[in-house]
Amino acid sequence: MTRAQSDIARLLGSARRRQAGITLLSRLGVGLAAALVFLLAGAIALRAGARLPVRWVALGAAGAALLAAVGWAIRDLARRLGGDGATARTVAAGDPALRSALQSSVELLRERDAIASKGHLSVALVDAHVERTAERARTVDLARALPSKPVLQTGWLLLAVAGVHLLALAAGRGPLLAAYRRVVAGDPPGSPIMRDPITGDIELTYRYPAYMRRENRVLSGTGGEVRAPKGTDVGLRTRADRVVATAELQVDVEEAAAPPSTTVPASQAEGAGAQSMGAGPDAAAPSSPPAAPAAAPRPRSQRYALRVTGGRDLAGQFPVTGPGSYRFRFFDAKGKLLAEGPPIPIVVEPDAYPTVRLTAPEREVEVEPGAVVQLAWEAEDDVGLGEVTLVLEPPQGEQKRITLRPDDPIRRASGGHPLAVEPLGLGEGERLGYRVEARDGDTVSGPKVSSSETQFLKIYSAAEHRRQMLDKAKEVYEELVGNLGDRLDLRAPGSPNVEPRVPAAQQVDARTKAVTEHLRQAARDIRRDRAGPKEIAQALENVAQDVRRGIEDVIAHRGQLLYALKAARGAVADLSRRQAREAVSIATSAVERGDATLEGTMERSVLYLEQLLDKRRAEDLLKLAKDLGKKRRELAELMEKYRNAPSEQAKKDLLAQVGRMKEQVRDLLRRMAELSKGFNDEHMNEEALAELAKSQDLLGGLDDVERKLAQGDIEGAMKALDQLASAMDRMASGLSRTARMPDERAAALMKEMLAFKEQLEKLEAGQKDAAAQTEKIRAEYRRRIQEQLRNAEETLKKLHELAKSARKDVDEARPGATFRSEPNFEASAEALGDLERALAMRELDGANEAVRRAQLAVDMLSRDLELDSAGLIPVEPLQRPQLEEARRRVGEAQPKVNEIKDALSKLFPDPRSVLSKEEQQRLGELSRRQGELEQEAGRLQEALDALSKRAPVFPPQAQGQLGESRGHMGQAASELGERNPQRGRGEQDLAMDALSRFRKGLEDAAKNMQGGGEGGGFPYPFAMGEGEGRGDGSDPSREKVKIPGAEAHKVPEAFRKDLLEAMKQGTPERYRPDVQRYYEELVK
Amino acid sequence: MMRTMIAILALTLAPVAAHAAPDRETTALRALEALRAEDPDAAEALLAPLAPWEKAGDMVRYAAGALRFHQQRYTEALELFRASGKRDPFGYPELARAAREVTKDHVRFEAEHFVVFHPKGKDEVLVPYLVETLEKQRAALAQGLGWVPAGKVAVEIVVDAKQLAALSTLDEESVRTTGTVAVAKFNKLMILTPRALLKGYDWLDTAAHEYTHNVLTARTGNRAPLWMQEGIAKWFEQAWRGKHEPVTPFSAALLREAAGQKKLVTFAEMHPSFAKLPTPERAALAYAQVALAIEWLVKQRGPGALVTLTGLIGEGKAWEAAVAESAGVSWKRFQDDWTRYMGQRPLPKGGKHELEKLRFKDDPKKGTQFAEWAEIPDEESRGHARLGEIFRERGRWTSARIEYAKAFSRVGARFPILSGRYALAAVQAGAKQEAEKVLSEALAWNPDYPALNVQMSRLLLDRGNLAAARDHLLAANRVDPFDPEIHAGLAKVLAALGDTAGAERERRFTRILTGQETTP
Repeated sequence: MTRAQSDIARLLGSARRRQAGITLLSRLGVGLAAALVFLLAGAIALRAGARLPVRWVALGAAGAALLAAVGWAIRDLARRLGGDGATARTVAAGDPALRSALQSSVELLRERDAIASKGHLSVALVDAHVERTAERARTVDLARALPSKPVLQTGWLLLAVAGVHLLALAAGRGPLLAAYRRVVAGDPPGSPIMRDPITGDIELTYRYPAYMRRENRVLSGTGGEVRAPKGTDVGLRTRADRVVATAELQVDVEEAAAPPSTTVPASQAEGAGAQSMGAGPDAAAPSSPPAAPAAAPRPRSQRYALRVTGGRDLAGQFPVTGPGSYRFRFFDAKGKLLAEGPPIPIVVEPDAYPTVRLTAPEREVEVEPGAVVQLAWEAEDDVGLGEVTLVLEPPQGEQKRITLRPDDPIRRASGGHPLAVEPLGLGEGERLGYRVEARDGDTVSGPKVSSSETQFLKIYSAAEHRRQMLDKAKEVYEELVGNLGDRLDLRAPGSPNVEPRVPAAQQVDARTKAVTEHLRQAARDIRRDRAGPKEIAQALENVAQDVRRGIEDVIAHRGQLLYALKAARGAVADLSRRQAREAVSIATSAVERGDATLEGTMERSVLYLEQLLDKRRAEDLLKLAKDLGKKRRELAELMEKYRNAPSEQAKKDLLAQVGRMKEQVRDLLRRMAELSKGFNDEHMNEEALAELAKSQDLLGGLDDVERKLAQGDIEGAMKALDQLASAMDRMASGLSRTARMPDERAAALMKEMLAFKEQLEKLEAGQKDAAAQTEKIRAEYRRRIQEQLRNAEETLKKLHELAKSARKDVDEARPGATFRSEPNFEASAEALGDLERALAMRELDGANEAVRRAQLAVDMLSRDLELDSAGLIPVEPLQRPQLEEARRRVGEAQPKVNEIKDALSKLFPDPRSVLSKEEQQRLGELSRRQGELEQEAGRLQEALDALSKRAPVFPPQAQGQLGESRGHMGQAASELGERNPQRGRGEQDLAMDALSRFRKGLEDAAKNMQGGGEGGGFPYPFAMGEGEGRGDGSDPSREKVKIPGAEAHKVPEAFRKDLLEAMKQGTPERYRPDVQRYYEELVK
Repeated sequence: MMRTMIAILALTLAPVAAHAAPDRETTALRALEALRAEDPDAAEALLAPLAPWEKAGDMVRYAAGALRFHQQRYTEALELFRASGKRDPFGYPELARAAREVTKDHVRFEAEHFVVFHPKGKDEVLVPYLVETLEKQRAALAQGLGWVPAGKVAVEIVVDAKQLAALSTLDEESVRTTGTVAVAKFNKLMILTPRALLKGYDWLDTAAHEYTHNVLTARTGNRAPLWMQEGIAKWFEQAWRGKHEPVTPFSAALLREAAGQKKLVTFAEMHPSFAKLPTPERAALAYAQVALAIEWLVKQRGPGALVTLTGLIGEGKAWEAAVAESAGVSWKRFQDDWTRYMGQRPLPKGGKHELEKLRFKDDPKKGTQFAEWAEIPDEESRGHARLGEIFRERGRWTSARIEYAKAFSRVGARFPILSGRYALAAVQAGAKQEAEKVLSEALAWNPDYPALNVQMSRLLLDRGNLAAARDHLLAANRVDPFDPEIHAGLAKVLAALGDTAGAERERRFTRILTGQETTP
């Protein structure tokens, strides 16, 4: 064989093998998929209750599918690979030229010998053709010539079928799997033999239980499967497949639902008319199983005789007592079992429990003791609702039931009920549980009862709310303590202001800041609660403000320190190192000062809050003790009544009252024990501890009362109660002493506060008086000046032009501003603007003041530009001309400003030359007086500082305002000393303004402190009046709000008059530039 | 006075005495007189010839009962009282009944010169220290007064003020008001256990003080006036530990103030008992006054003056004359000098702050530790101290230390509660040197404050300075012997110092105080 021949043969052989594989795999795969589908279908059918033969059908179908696939594969193989020619066709199916060459080569090779022998064709030509063909055949890619696509497609098909299997088995779970197993492997040995039906179609008649009020239902032509509620009587009619003498139904009931196994006579089974049908009981049925206990879980059988008519017509009846199945059993005349039908399922349609829910109010609501709460409910049942009841569960005593709707069966109902709380006699803080119960009318299994979730009404308790608020305050207090501890700990190992430790300090700073937020939040929460102690809220706010101010300083300074430290690290030159060291030193001092101040603030705050919290808790405790005393008196009255008219109910009431008191005493003792831990040394002393010990007797005393009452010894019980009374009085008085103690301390502070207030009032009055006296002299001075100014209009016009020009100079110099000169450019422009405006308005006082500022600023600006121009700082070449121009223009502005100043000075002669000697003397006295007032303000400042240290009750800005006022007082004294009533009076105004703001701040703080309830707060005597609320959202529902009427937009007449009058008087001096600017802005 | 008493006794017992033979009756009355003078030996000598007393007359039986009461044989005493009839002008039967009731379950411990009756249980820890102290005091008194009685002296330990009142004829209110913790009477010392007080008291000095009374009574035939009794007892109070510091800083300050304002306690006020003075402050003042009288005398004439003085009174000389003779100046002059001395004597360190209020554990009206904080006069310091407490309660020792330090820097080491807490926080925060410095300063002001001594001993033990640690523990034990830590520390120290028996005893005391061992 030539090489070409062998290549062609190899190609064909390979093609044959490949094609055979593809064909077999694809065809058999399709067959397998079909088979699996048939098996699954069979399993589903079996699961759905189909008879066993369905297995054979499924298996047969699956087998047939496989056989068909095999046949199909054989046919294809024969067709495609049946000889070299067919193979060649198949291989070259996609290339007609090759197909032809290959096919001809195969044929020529087969005939080669014949050709050679006959000689009708050239053998060499044949070989050459074969050689060419072989050459092409070598290039054939079998993967392309015979693609495996059918195999892949079959694989996908199989995968899809497998997926369907998985889904079906997952959905059908165990039973479907079991059915599948049954299809594939058949029933396991010992499985019951599934019998064929022995009756025709069955007519079923459902007679539903009476409570359901449903019509009878007849179903004809059924397979006999029963689906009915429990208690339904099922009537059957059918025809036997053979002639029988007697017949019966065997009913197998699953689980404990069935009553003990019995044979129910047909007469009973079918009701009154059954007897006439002639069916008899089959009490002696041999297959009847022995009676089993009702609770046994396995199926139990009951048999019901069927009435047989005409040898084959059957009728009967059985009640549905539970899920299970039934089967027909036929007997011959001798009672021999002829046939037994397959089990027919009995499915019990469940009678669902009713559903009921409360739709209003919320799960737990807090209500006032006298509230009427509107309840809303909904209930539903699948058959019919019975009674719906509201069940109340008070904390003590028995459950109470209120019928919301009677037993009137409808499927759905809803309604509301106004529940009055007061008659229930609940105490503050007690919870009433309530729920709605609904029952259905099931008379077969007994009514099913459902209940809504239990919801609660809680009686509002101010004490409890207060306690919660106190707990909240305590929580933030603890946070504050912890943070103070962190700050202290921070500096224990050394200064926290060395570079490696600064980040740690910054972390603590951040936490401190967070603490202030929490303090504020707690204060807001406490304010929002109407029982929240307002003085505590105020205290928390004060503390938050103080600490906030301190921590912001510290954070800022520490940031600067860190920056300085980094700069110091990076400094290379000697000069910069020195500067950096100085910067570090300055920043360190600032941080240390800030830390110390903040630490002091936090320390004071901790002590202050502790005192307030202790006091408030002691007061609450006292209140509780007093409540207990009241209850004791009520108990005594009840005893008295009981003694006069003993009854079992009265005794019960007495014991219930004692029980309530014991609960309260336990609560009191528990809280006292908690408090005794929390009280600080100076507040809680041995009296409280001793009282705590004494109070332990209370429970014993109540036990004694209870025991004697139970024994019927009313006299003994009353005596024991008397003894208890004295123990309780002792306790109350001890607690009262404890609660009062902080007040005693506060009283001393109050005294100092009052003295401070008095001092402040005196200072204000003194300042007012000094101002009034100064005003008289100033008025005279102004009058005289005005006279002098009448002839100065021309001069003023000229000065205005000069000012305008100077401002222009400065404005135009602006492009040459350097970094150094920028601030003075700002100041110069502003002062010159003010000067220009003041001169335009002929406000000479303002002009005088403005020109002084302008002169200073322009001089400094000029100096800066000189320095910059001298080359002390590097200036970009391009900027230099602008700088020179700026220097020139500012240089031009300078003499203008000087001229204005000189001119104004002349217009404003020295007050000494205007005022009389007496007036000057008077100004001298006023200066002294003003000096004294300044000293008084200084003393007041010291007092404020001292008081602030004892309690952070003052608003944070107070110290600053007082200082500001004091500064103006000093300035006023100085101006008056210079015999300048104009400026002296101005400073007095400013002093009074600062003083007034200071006072207002105190009054606002006082108002905020008011309304703290019974406890009262820290002594703070600055309140103006009572009843003024704060707009911070504190319990808005309780604030009276006036709804504005249609006229509300109108400004009150008197106010308008005041405004008009004020307008006539002109603008106050120090506001004139602002007013002028305002109008200028308006007209722009 | 005594004669008047005996006359009254004779009258009131007349119905009883009517049945006794005249010589026996006189002897019995003499025996009673001897007992009133706290001289049971004399009484026994008188009554011994009349034995058996059960068969003697009622008067003899009564006197014999009183004798047995003075000999702490209470059951026999009660038998004799019962046999003698019901008249009872001095309350001996009642006292005997109370004494029997109180001491019926007491444990008896007999030492060379003392017999201690103590309640079962924790009070056992007092006994060795009490006996040691009294023996030392006996030796000191033998030298200081020139004589001590030969017989054994009974010491009864009582558990509360009520018992003390029942045994001593004082009323309970007086005991509480004046802070009386011990009485020497009826030929015995009655001492309140230190565990009856919140922080104990200087019980060993007190026992030495009361024993001094006992010796002095015998030495002077009970003829020394009350002021002299108390003055000498106060003078010798710390003699057992070789010291004579009769006034505390507080009482010295009180004295200076009272002398300036002429509000000294008069002799009339001092009678019948210092325990009857209206307040602890007046009582302290009275003690200081009389102690300084003795101090002045010793200063002027040397320690031998007290031997002379008590000897003269014992011989029957009037006390004014005896004082004059031993002082070498007239009584009037002595009184003037003494008064002047009271106003001029330099104040010891501590000054006014040292208000040593005795606080009864079961008396709610008395102060607790809280009041100690309140004694710090500087409000800011009190604030820092409170902050220290706040941090201490939260286990923040470093912060607590810083706050206590701030408070301490303002008021110094005068307030032991502050110093103690500061030192504790410093130790907990790892600053032991700082703690030791604080404690040293604090102990200079309050050498007897037990908590400071205990804390100091911890540090010293830590450093291995055993002898110093022992001294501090013993100092703490002198005030608050029921702190188990003291005994545990002593056990450790004594073992290290080679005192095996002492260490074992202290270990046992530790177990008793911690409830790990019960006494039979």
